[in-house]
Amino acid sequence: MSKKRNFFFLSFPTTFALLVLFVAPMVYILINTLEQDGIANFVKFLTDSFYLNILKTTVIISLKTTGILLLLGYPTAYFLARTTSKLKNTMMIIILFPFLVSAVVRSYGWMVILGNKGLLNQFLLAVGLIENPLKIMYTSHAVIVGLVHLLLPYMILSITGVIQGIDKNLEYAASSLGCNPLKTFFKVLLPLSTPGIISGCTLVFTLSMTAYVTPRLLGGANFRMMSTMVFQEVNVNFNWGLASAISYILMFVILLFLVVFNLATASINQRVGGQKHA
Amino acid sequence: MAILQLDNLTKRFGNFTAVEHVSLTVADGEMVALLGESGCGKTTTLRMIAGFSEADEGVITIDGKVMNSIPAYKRNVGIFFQNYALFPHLTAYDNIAFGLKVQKRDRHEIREKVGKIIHMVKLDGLEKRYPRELSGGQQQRVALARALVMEPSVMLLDEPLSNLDAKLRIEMQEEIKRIQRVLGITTIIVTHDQEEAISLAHRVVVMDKGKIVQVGPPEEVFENPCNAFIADFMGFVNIFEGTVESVADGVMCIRCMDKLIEAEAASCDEIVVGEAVKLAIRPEKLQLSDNKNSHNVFTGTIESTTYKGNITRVEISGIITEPLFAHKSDFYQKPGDTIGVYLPPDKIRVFKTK
Repeated sequence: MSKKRNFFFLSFPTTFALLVLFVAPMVYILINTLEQDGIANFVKFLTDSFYLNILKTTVIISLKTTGILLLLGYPTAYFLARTTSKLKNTMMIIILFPFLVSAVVRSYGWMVILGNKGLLNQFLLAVGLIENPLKIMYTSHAVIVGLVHLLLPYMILSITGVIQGIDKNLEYAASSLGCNPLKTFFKVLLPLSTPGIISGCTLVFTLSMTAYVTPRLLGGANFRMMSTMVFQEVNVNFNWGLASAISYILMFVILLFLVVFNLATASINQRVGGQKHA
Repeated sequence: MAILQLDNLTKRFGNFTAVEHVSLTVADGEMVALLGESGCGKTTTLRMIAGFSEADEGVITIDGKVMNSIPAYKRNVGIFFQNYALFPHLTAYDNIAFGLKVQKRDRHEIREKVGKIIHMVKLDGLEKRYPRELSGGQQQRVALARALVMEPSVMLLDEPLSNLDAKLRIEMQEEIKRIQRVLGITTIIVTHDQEEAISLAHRVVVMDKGKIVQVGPPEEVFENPCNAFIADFMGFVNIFEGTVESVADGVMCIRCMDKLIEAEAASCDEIVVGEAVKLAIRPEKLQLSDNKNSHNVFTGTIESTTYKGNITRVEISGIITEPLFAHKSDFYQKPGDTIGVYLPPDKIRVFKTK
């Protein structure tokens, strides 16, 4: 009788770190809030339209960012996965390059471009497309631009990996069976690359829901998203109870969206191809 | 059902010419095998016919219609991939019905056609399985059915049997042959396996370095290869060099070291006296310990024997520079024994040295 080897112990360091550094503080914060104010902070947030609007803005911006990233990332990912160019590795590194520069620096970069007297407005004015400078800086558009730039590598890399695993012959087979490129995409490529789409969207949606630096710098002081609210409650208003309530609501909303997103993709998938995802 | 014509087809990748001036006509209902080593251009040719790759020069026509600028999805050319390329997210049934559904055919028509083809390739009862739940042989049948159900004008098979074990390979070989003959679809099969090409095709096309080097019925290519390269490919294991001493009454006398070997002059090449030539003979044509003949009998030493089940491979040295190989069944002599070797003159092929 051979004993079945269990490799669970390999994940001990990570499990331990997560428990001590993440789960424990989360539980501690929750208990603290509930002991001090009960559920008052949660009620306050969920009944006040001021806070609910912030939640709405955060969700809308994150959904828009995710959608734009999917549209931008998928074609790029497909190209990267299928190219036979010798420069493929170089291109991969270039995709990763933005990671080398912090979100703060990048946000300042966008300020230079998007500001009232920024490069974009100067260009548009010079070409004559607009007569007055566009207000982009300190709006949700600037935040979305910043987030898209920040998160694009995550989306591209998630999808590239999955497309690389799809046999190119499947595309050839589809075309020999009468599929034009568009049909090949919808009938073969899309259903088979859903795992990559799910993981890419999960990543970027979560990251934009929780982003702080980009909305703070590109949205300005009066532009509020959930994470900037948490910061404000902690550091400005010293209302730790409300801050922890906000962070819990944020976490819950993210989880909710991820569940909905997974279910939706699974059902689309089933209709398109009948593949079942666990 | 169609006539496929390749005229002067050429494909280059950078400086490398993968396919060079290939011209070939495949008759309606004919099965032609493109045979050659990997990298000889056979798969590139196939991909150009399918429309996955554009020809740099030359014309592809099906029933007289020029195909060059027609995209793959409008060609109605069926293709069978070496790795089957089944859609992993679809059941066997949906894989087979894929093309008909794309064409938005009538529901009843789809069900009838798919049912018929499933029966033909003997997949009854496996319709609801996903590719990963099917064995290699079954996957192959799905791939075949998926292409055939479209009633393609031309069918292309890319190394169809290379992923199967020996027993299944013979079974599928018969199967492919049966289906092709029943449906009468114009077919091109690409393979590096001479046995496969010979047993399946009406005509064998041997390719080397992007060019067609010999075209003929299987027997002809197998028995009378046109040059030493094809001979080597066709299983003429013993190939050695010599010089022609005399040619008379269709019999050549060729000197190899101190030996004089007679060969009957059935050859593609015009050979003259004094010319350097290559001789080729199959290992199974060597006769051992046969002293009834006066010519072409030599004495050598058994260097080694390898038992291969149905035959024993015998390595014999001491006759010419290279060792000679013979395939014999029920062979019991041991290495070190001396042995008489007879080379039947009508089994020796002679080629010019180029």
